Amino acid sequence: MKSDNSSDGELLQAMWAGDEEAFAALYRRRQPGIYRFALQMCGSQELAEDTAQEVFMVLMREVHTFDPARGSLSAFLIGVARHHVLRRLQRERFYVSLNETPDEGSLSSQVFLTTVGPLDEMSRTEAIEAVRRAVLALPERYREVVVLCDLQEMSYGETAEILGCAVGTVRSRLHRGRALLIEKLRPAREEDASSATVKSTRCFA
Amino acid sequence: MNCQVFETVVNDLAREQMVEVNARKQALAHSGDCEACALRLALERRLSFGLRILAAEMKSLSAPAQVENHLRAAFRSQTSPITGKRAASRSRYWIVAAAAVVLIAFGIAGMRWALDEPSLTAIETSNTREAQTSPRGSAVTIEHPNTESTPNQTTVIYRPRRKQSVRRLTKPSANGNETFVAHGTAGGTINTEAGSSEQSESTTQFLSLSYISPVNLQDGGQLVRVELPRSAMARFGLPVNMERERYGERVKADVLVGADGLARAIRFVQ
Repeated sequence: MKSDNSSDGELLQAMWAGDEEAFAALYRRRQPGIYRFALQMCGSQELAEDTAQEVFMVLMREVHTFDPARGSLSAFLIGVARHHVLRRLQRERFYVSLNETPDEGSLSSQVFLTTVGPLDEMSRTEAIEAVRRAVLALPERYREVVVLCDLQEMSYGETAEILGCAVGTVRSRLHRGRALLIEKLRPAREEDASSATVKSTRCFA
Repeated sequence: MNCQVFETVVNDLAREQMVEVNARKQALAHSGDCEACALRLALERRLSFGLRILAAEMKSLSAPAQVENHLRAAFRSQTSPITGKRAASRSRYWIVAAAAVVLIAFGIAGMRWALDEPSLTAIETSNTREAQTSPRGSAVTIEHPNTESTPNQTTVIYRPRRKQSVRRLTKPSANGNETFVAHGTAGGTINTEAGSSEQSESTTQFLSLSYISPVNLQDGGQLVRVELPRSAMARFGLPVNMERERYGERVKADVLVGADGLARAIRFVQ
């Protein structure tokens, strides 16, 4: 029986030796982050469960592919999850779920950034839903950076390690992703007003 | 600080990341002066707040217990076959390795046997007709009717079984410095016909060249084709036409050379 104090490496070695409890301890330690990452990336609980299961199946089958010198086990697992999620999203791109299509004109989107006061002026649930939909509506390359940096609260370095890119790339993608999020959360009526202003300006010009 | 520089730090400001103290002060001061940048910072902070709420809301989420059960079952089912497969593959490796060692040992032994234990070729005179044979080699009896020169003489030739390519040798013979053109016999036994390629040739019997232990050829021997002056035939008591026009001709002969390099016997080829 492996205790929770054991390091990832120790659990991994015990798991490789056939210790089921070590595998379970490793799973319980790393599974929530992987599940949440997948859920935040795709918005589907089923896909998130599949991803969590697939990641640990990969760990079972190909544990020898993990090289501690190249990064942490957490980064390795998130990297596997990322590949799995992106593959599934690529495959299911043609299928649009009516229930989960981001509704940019919803009330929560309209009120999220227009409220000057604290967020408690709007429903907490609505705010969360608005942000969740906005994140899901981001292009994948920006979405994964926002998810890793802002939702998983990883550092730029950890995110760069998982994505296999430079820290500067992470920073620029995060900047662009957040700008897109603000655009998506901007209320429709404000956009209409600004576009009307532009039109009138053009008319008077 | 201007708006462009402010844009580079607004994310870190809103996300409350580590920012240099001076840059932070300057950025906050700029946002106090610039209305657009102040709105930008407010929006970023509001977005960070919303993202933090979303993250906190999802903090407690995890995969259902059935996923762990499935994975545990998969782990159990996978570890035992893996262990069995590993053991089987290891035992297979050991078997293959042992077989390889045995094959190599047999190969080395065979090579040593072929090189060090040559086949036995016995040449015995017609009087004794006692062939000395090697238990592992082939023995061939060569009749030697020249009983006058070598009475009751048996010549035993041990030859390696391996094939020998045609090569040139420069070795002094027992009875003179001759340049030999060696024709390796193709692994066959030595007989009076001396191989299939020489079956059309008519040869004399082997004539002993050595008076001291001519049969002591335990270390093997070689059959060497040489060319000699015709007068050499007369030395062995063979009839030879010594007419002037044929005096300069040379005759072919096979010399039986022992492993020590000494010529043991000779036969003339016509």
